[in-house]
Amino acid sequence: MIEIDEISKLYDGRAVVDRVSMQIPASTITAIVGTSGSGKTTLMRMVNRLIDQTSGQIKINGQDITGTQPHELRRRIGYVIQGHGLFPHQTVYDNIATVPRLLKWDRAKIEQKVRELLALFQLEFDSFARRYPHELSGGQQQRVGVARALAAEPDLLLMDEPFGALDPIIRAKAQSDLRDIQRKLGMTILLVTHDMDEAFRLSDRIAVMNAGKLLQYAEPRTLLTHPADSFVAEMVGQAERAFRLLSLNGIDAIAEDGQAAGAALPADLTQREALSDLLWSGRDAAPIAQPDGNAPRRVTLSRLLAAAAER
Amino acid sequence: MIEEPDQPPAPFGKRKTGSADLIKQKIDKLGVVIALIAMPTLLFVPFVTFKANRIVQGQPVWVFSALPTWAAACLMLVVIAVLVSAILKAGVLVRMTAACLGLVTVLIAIGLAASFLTPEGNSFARVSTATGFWMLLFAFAMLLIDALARLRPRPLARILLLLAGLALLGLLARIGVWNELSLLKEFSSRADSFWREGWRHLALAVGSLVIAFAFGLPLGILCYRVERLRAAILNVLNVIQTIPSIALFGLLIAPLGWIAANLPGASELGIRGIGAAPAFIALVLYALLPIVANTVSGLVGVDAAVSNAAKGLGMTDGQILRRIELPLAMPAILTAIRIVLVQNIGMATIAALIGGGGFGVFVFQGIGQTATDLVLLGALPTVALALCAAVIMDALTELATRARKEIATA
Ligand SMILES: Nc1ncnc2c1ncn2[C@@H]1O[C@H](COP(=O)(O)OP(=O)(O)OP(=O)(O)O)[C@@H](O)[C@H]1O
Ligand SMILES: [Mg+2]
Repeated sequence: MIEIDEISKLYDGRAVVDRVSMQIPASTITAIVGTSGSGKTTLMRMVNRLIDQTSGQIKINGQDITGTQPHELRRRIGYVIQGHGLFPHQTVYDNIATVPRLLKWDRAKIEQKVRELLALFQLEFDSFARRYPHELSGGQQQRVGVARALAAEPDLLLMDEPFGALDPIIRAKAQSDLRDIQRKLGMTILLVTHDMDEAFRLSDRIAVMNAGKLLQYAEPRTLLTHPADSFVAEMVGQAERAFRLLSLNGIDAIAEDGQAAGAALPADLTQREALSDLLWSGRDAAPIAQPDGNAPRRVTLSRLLAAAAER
Repeated sequence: MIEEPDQPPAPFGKRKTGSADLIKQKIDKLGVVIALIAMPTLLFVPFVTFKANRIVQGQPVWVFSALPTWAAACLMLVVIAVLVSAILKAGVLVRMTAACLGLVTVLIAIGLAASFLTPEGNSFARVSTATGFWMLLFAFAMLLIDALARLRPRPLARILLLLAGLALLGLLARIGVWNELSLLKEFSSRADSFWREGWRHLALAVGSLVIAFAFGLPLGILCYRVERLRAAILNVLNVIQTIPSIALFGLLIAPLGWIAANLPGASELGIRGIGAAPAFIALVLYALLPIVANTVSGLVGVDAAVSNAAKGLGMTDGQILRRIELPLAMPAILTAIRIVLVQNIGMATIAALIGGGGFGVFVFQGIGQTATDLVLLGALPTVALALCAAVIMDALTELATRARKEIATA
């Protein structure tokens, strides 16, 4: 749990982060969104003391962060930046082993951890451990960057536009991998992004910032249904909000018993994807793929439309 | 590893081309230039200079009168063979072997010429190298350098080649090939002082590099960390660089003299207004700019995302410097060390002007006595030392930076 209390950062008397308060529950993903220059990076970098706050207080698990030496605090917090910042003169192995070595883990434990992380990120130990960053693709570099941040098993991970440099397909894969890994390891993630879709796809809660102020910090659904003001409404996308709402839930929530014609939809589709499929194929209903022997189920256009208007 | 120059495929329209195109394809331009230097040199430029004694004006002697007929014929044949392989696009290994063969032949020929021209039992007569010898050497050296550039040997191979070359020269000297040459006579009459000044030369060049590095690296780091100091310090070092060495020696006489007179123990350490101390200090001062400037530019060149990530992961400032920034700046720093070493080896010659010793002693003695060979006795080893330092440092830099390539594809 991270408690941010009335935190401000002033540069030359100008508030870049202006009395922001938020409470981030443990084991959740929070996305910070906002226009460029709204103070997202500054807010995030105050959490691991890369920037010192002008006023206010930040507590992690009840402890004030100013009570720890900055470098010791940072070793307990994972940090990923855009462009990953891998050390070009060190192998993948050495990059990932950075924080464990700073913490003076023993060799065997470090090697075990590196193996475990490479496996988690689907990178073959034998072929990747000894490579240098320039011998990796952009997507692989990005995964190594996240693996490096997770090496010392931090329970807080800060990510500043971690997927900004990836192409859309690799980015979608990286996002779902991150979600899976977060579920598996259970750490808290604070993530800055420019990509609204990414924020909705990944996060449990979204913080919207503008000009240093936190406008709203809420669950994605609340942001769509009850935006705090017109800026938030515009940020989450007036024109798209019905679709965004649908993308938050799976089709099982509105599935009903019954038959339908045509190709079956995979059971893990979001409602938005199902709607798109029905519109595209011109059907009123579609069957949902079921394990053999189960009663047939389907999703209907009318139920989807009702879900989109639900608030 | 061997890179043959690409031959462009003949365009379709010109399939049935005449001999002109064929010649163009088969002939190496550099080879032609080398041949145009070597052949006229061999025929028309004096190969050695003969003097009845050390003082008198010398007479030029051409290859065919400087060597016994058989030797002149051999030299002629070898030169022609080498030039043919240079002009026709022979394989790069063939060209390299030919160049080495040419160099060794010319080097042996100069020795033969010396013993051929020196009358039996005459210890006054002097035979010195003349323009023709140097031009032939230059032509074949160009051929060798070109072959090496195309061969692109790996760093260790380059050092081995250098050692092999030195060993070959040592062997030829050992056999006594050049014993009758004036240069060697100058050497043997002062062999002791040659080695003494040689060591001193090295000590001046390498010692001042070590000291300059010891001061320059921290200074460079300071300039990097404290941006306000950067311009000031670099400007001061720049100004020092522009002071002529003689003027710098002059400027150092007074303060060093004062230190020697007033600081107990200073004069026992050899600190005086003239001599090795001011020469050493001048070399250190000149060396500071390349070291500091390259350290700064190496450190500034480190990707901000990289040092940012290092900090974010919890490295202390010292750890970031030692583990990230300095290793990444290493290529630039090694380049500075190479520059300074080569520069120092050359500049240490000037130390002799104020009694600082080194190979310059022979150069300035030679100038005083108008004895060209004595000048060469000082100059040749200096050039050789600088060349060796450059080859070795380049190889070491390449070895040290091979694994530290920047992210080229990001
Ligand atoms: N060291 C600094 N000194 C003065 N002003 C700064 C400093 N760092 C940031 N700022 C200002 O603070 C404001 C917020 O910067 P910040 O980097 O937090 O924005 P951001 O929301 O992360 O923007 P982006 O989306 O473009 O990354 C900007 O107006 C920036 O110019
Ligand atoms: Mg930012």
